Formats: sequence, C-alpha cells, structure tokens
Amino acid sequence: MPVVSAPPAPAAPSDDALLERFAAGDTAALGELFRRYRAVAYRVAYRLLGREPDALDAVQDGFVKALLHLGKFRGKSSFKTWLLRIVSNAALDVGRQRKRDSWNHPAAAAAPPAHAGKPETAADAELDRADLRRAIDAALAQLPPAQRQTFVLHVDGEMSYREVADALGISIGTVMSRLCYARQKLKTLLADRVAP
Amino acid sequence: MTAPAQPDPPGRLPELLAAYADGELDAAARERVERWLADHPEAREQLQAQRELSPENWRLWQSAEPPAPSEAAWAAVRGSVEGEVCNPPAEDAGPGRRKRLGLWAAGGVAAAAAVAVAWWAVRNPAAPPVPNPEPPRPVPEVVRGAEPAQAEVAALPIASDDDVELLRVPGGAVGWLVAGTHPLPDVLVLAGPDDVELGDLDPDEWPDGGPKMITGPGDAPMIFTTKGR
Repeated sequence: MPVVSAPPAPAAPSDDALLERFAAGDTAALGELFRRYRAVAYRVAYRLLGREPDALDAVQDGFVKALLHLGKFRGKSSFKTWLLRIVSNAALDVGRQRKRDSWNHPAAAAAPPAHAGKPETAADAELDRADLRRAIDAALAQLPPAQRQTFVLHVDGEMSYREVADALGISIGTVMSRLCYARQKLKTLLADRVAP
Repeated sequence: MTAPAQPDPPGRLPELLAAYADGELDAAARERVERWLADHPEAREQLQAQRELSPENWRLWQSAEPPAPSEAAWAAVRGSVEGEVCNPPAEDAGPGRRKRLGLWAAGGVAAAAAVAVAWWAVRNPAAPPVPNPEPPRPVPEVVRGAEPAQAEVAALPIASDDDVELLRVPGGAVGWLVAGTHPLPDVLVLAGPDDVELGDLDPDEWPDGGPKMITGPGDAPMIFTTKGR
C-alpha cells in the first residue's frame, strides 16, 4: 500500500510580505502581524507598566503608530524591532501619564493591582506567581527608565544587544553598560528571590 | 614567541564579561576577551558570577509570566488597531486646522439659520412676529465650538530627573554629560514662520519686545528668540 505523505505546510509569509499586503489594503495581513507579535509586545509593555489594562493600551498605541508610520521604518531593522521600540516608548509614556495622574488622584493610584483581590481559594501557585510579579514590578520600577527599557527589551522582548541598540538608537556599548547596571541592581533588589 | 600579556581588559570588565556570558560579542571581541581571560585566570570567578546572574534572572522572569489577556481583550485591541489604522484622521487636519474648520462650520450654520429665518418671515407674512428677534450670535457659538479643540491639545511630555541616566562623568573640567531617553514618542513638529500671523508689537504684553502672534489652541508650538544686536 503506497504511503501518501501529507503535503508540507505552506511556509508562513514573511513580515515584509505581510507589510506589502497590508500596504495594498489587505486587512487580513494586519491581523496576521498582530497575532504574530501581540504576545511579545504585551510582555514588554506589561514589564514596563505592571498592569494588564495599561499594557494593552500601550500595545494598541504601539501597533497603531508602527503601522501608520511605516514610511519612517523603511526596513532598516526588522518589523519586530521597530514595533517593540514604539511599544516600549508608548509604555513609558503611559507610565509617565499614570505618574502624573497619581499626583492628581492619589487615591486611584493607591488602588491595589487587579490580581491582589483574588479570593484566597485561588491556587497557591497563582498566588506565588502574582507575588513574584509584584516583586519584579517593584524592582523594575526602581531602575531608571532607560535601563528598564533596555533590560526589558533584551529579556522580555528577546532581542539581541544589536537589536536593542538599533531599536533605541544607542551604541552596543551603551546597551552593555545599561544591562550590566540593571542586572547588578536587580540582583540586589531581588536577592531573596534569586536562588543561590 | 608568545604574545605579551594584556595588562588591561579590552573595555569595561563587568560589561564585557556579561556580554561574553550572553554570547553577544562578535568574533573579534570574543577572541580578545578569551585572550585576556587566559592571561588573568583570577577573572574567571567574575565571569562565573556574570553567567549565574543572567540565567537566574531569566528563570525568575519565566516563572512570573504576565497574566495572559483574554481572547475578548485581544479582539478588542485588534479591532481598535484596525479601526485607527484603516481609518486614520486626515493627515492635514491637525487640531489647529480642525478648530479652524469648526469656526467656519459654526459661522456657516449661523449664517444659514439667519437666511432661513428671513426666508420664512418673508414667505409667512401672517405669522405672528417673533418677539424681540435677536440676530444670530455666531461668536458665542464659536467659543463653545472651540472647547473640544482645546481639549485635544496633548500635554507635552517633559523629562524629569528620573528619566535621565548619568552614565559617566569624566573629570571635573568637562562638565556634565546627561544621556537619557528622548522624552517624546515622535518627532516634535514645530510651527515655522509661515504658520503664524505676526501682529503689531504690543509693549504691554511683551515688555522686552517681541511679536504678537495670532495662534489657535491647537497650533503647533514654536520657539523664537530675539535677534542678537
């Protein structure tokens, strides 16, 4: 009996191909780009903001700006690098706005994070994760924004030193310096969380 | 014959070792670091510390993944992105222009209303006269119409002291070099000389002298300075 092998799955279209289709008015291409990068964009934004609604705002803002200003992108870096640069900048803007709002509305700013109100019956593991997230948020918040952005793009955006340098328009040496300082500081701040 | 031992590391040591541990150095830099490490075995302890620092942070991070948004939340974000990207506001209709169009529209509506009232009065002579008919008052309407345009003017983000990072201050004579992230999300568009109308000089408003500019609340910011004498 002849063995019929399934035809190979078609290769996923490249980002460039999707961007060309999008430029030609294909909204399905926009949907594919969104699905492809929404998770990493959200991870970066969340680490910079620590709140899901704020992170989703930054992701939305980042996608809109990245797609509306493709003329400035011109393929000098990857679309992911371009997008994460804009998302991280949008996240820092949201963070600054939130800080300004907290000056005007201190009660709202002091509200506990969404996961803090979960019932005690929730799984211990989830509580541990939420606790760890809070510890990480607090530690990251103590880094200067430039160090925080560099560190988060490298660790959560899974970008190489070169990609981070391209995204932020800084030298590799500055990336190395910021990452080194950020790690040393985070190590101190999270000393009780980092296994010996 | 062997190459002489390198007295100094090829760069700042902790940063280099961290980048080396991350596998981020190019071949030439990697080779230089390896040569230096061969000459300075005592530095291997620092390298090990950098190796431990990075993976530990990564594991810590991975065990505290952000909460995943629901599919409904993603659908809402995607819908908003699609709406804004596929139906962007006209590029040339900035806030200032929208406000100006609003003024014209408000004036047009007021004028049309006046014409309609006059036409109705002519065609219906038997109709009781309107007591104290007031002429249309476009000015108050215009002022009310301008309020939303003022609300569209976004606050200009300004970097604060915690937004900048002092990387290095070499020596005391060279002053401070502050390196930080540009606080603006995009290029700041400034108004040019052709974008403003210059009125008469008003010494009361500008005691030191300066132009009286006719601007709208949504117009782009402009920087001007007096000319040196």
